[in-house]
This record gives sequence, C-alpha cells and structure tokens, in this order.
Amino acid sequence: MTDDIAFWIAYLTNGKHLTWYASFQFTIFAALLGGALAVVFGLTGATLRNSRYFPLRLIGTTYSAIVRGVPDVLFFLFFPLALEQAVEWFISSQICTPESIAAQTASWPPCREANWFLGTTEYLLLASVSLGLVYGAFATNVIHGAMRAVPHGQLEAARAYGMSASQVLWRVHIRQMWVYALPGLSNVWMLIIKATSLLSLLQIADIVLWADRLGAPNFLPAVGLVHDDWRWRYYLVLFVFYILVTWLSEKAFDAIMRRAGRGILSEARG
Amino acid sequence: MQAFLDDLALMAPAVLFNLYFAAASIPVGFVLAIFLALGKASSNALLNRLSRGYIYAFRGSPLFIQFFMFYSLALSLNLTVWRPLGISGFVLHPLFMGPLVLVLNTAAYTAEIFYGALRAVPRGAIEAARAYGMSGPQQFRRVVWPNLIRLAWPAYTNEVVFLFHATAIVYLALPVVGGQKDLMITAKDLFERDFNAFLHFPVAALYFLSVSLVVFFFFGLIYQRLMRHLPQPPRIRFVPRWMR
Repeated sequence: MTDDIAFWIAYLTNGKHLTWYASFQFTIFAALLGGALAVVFGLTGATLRNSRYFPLRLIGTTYSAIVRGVPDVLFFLFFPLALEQAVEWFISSQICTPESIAAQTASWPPCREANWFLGTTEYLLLASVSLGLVYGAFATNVIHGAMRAVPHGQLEAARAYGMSASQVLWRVHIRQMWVYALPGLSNVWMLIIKATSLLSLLQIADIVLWADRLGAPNFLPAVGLVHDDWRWRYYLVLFVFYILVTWLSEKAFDAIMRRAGRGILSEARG
Repeated sequence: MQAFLDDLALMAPAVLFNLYFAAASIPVGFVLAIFLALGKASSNALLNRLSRGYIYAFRGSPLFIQFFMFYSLALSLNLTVWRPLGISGFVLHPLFMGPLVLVLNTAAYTAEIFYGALRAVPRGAIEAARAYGMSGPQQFRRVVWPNLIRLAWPAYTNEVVFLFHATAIVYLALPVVGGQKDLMITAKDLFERDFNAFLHFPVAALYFLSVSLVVFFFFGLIYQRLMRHLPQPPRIRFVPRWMR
C-alpha cells in the first residue's frame, strides 16, 4: 500500500509530469493577457462605435460584426500567421537582394534573411493578442450596451458641472459603465478561458499537448509496455481543471459584482 | 482574382462537412436539451442534481478538450468493446465522433437557454391550464412548450450559429480520414502549400459568415411565424451576441 503510494507520487513527479505542470503557466498567462487586451479592445471598439464621425463608427461596427461572425479558431489561427507574413514581407522589401531571392527555393519568405523565427514566447504573445482581438469584439458589444445603460441624468449632471466631453467620458461615463458591463464581461471571460485550450494549435507546448504526450502508449524496449493508452485520463484531468477554473471565476465575478454594485440600483447587478 | 475564385471552388465541397456536422447534431441536441432543461427544473433531487451537473460541466469546459477526451476514451475501449462487436470503424470515424461530442456539448448550452425560458413562462398561464383540469403532459404540450420556444428562439438561433462555428475545430481534434476535409483543414492545407494566409483564411471565413447569415435569415422567418399572433412580430437581431 505505502509502496503503491510512493510509486504514484514518484510517477506523477517525474520530469515529464513536472514539465506538464509548468506548462499551465502558458494557459494562465494567455488567459490573463488575453482578458486584459479584450477589455482594451472592447473599450476602443465601443468608443469607436459611439463616435461622432461616420468612418470611425463604421470601423467599430465592422470590427465587432465581422470578428463575431467568424469562428474564433479561424481568427485565432489567422491573426498570428498573417502578422508573421506581413512582417516578413516588410523585412524582405527592405533587405532582400535579387541574388538572395534567386537563391531561395521555398515559396515563402522571398529570401532566407527575411525569415522571422517565432518561438514559444512570440507565439504566446501573438496568441494572447489574437484572443484579445477576438473577444474584444464580444466585449465591444457588451461595453457598448453598458455605456447606453448609464442613466442620462448622470451625464447631464456632469455636463452641467462644466466638464468637457472627454472629462464626462472618462470621469463619469466609463466609471459608471462597469457595473452594467460586468455580467457580460464575465461571460466573455468564460469564453476566453475556454479558448485558451487552443494554444497547442500555435505550436505552444501547453497543457493539452503535454496531456497528449504523457498519456500516449508508453513503450520502452527494455521493459516492454509501461502503460497503454491513458490519454483519456489526462484529458479528464484537464476537463475537471477547466470546470474548476470556471467555478472559481464565477465566484470571483459574483464578489466583484456585489462590491461594484454597492449603492447602485439592484437591477444593475444582473 | 482567379486565385480567389479557385479557392471558392476548392472550399465548396469542404463546407458540406461543416454543414453535415451541424445538421447531424442540432436536432438530437435539441431533443436532449428539452429533457435536460426539464430535469434541471424538476423537483426530483437526483434528476435535478444530474442535469445541473451535466449542464455545468459541459458549459464550463472547452469543446476542444471534450473532443480529445471522448475520442481518446473511444480509442481506449477499441480493443475490448468496439473491435469484438465489429463496429470500431464506425465508432471511431470522425463523421460519428464529431456529431456525438457536438450533441453532448450543444445539448448543455441549449438546455441552459431552455431552462431560462422555462422559468420565464408566465405563472398565470400555467395556473390557468391547471384550473382547466389539464394533466401534466397536456399542460406542457399546450401551454408551457409554446411559451418556452417563443421565449427561447432568439437565444437558440445564436446557439445554432455558434455550434456551426464550433464545427471548425472538429478536424483539429479528430483525425482527417482520406479527403474528408472541412473548411479549416482545407484552408490550413492550402496555406501550407503556398503560404498565402491573406487569401485562404478569409475565403473560409467568408463561407462561415455567409452560412451564418443564411441561418439567421431562416431562423428569423421561423421566429416571425412563431410570433404571428402578435400585431407586429418582433424581429430577431441579426448579429450573434455574447450568449455562450
């Protein structure tokens, strides 16, 4: 019995498993940065949609409509690849000589010097930005709705105090908007958490990739079959992990909403 | 321009796979969701707990993980269960596994929508039905259900569009069999051939966008028909909201 326990503790803390536990940092980092960027893009998008100038309004509406009309995976894959290509194209237009273009055999990039190598860090940053862009479109919608939910009297009172337009926006409108936006933003946050499972599509060795590697049938020539296909157990762990994270975020958002809604109409707490 | 038209033609067969996944899972998920919603609203403690837990688990975890989990579970049962029964080729085929997981997933989301609508059914209407002496099933069929589906329809439309979008990750999690590629895989393969990200992905996006608009149009028509008793039928909003 104690031998069994000792064995399992040893097995679950071997090098590969430790790498798996460490890879949770990628998921958490992408979720946090992606969430923060989503709020930034959401605020930008909502401000654009509220703008007085038609072209800006058009940009805001198109952004939120197009990105939400397309699957998140597609945009999630498209944005990093497209950005990488755009940068490589720009570099190649600067440094490529006719000789180096002629020497290049692959179809992309135009010359070998223009290749921009992306490692895990770069991909992680790009993945966070694309999470922010995709879910920023959802947040745009939420924040746009919340800005319209702020009572008009508050803005009129602010204007009556002689505040300028930008003062009204920053000191009154956006400050009061949060209470109405929180229920929607909590939904967007749940979507972002779930989308972090897609990181492995960008060649980041994240929790999903490691679960697959650890669970795959393990055969060593010296000992024979160590274990057969255990992948579903590892995925079950991830399944439970994501449910726990969702549960925790729900609790956290409830607490934030209760705190943010102090002294404000109870309907705002949603 | 020619390359764009070529891409449109190349992806036309691919969109059929996405449509198949959505069409195969939506009806089953719809029926399953009704039972789950009733279970979540039921006073039977066991039924209530089970459906609550199911809905929470499947709404709280990524579809991507669910795909991997169920597929690897089916794989590990292959030697002991599917092979002796002689159905392993069928069970492990993405055209079966894909809709299976999508059904499990969409049933949970749809059940949550139906549950919300169920709680919004006017109390008075149910009391009136009871006062008329209707039995339980009669009440459900004649009073609760018509109210429920009208309340839930706009949100359900969003869910259907999201499910269609979710079909994009089926083949990213399951193996591609032969030439059976959906939009995402086709776009990825084309990209890996000539590295033209700005052409292939937007064309795939265009397909997703246009199918979404068609779904919105037809579900809007159904909504107008459901609401035909009102003097001015409300119109469904034309953009997906943050429902999921």
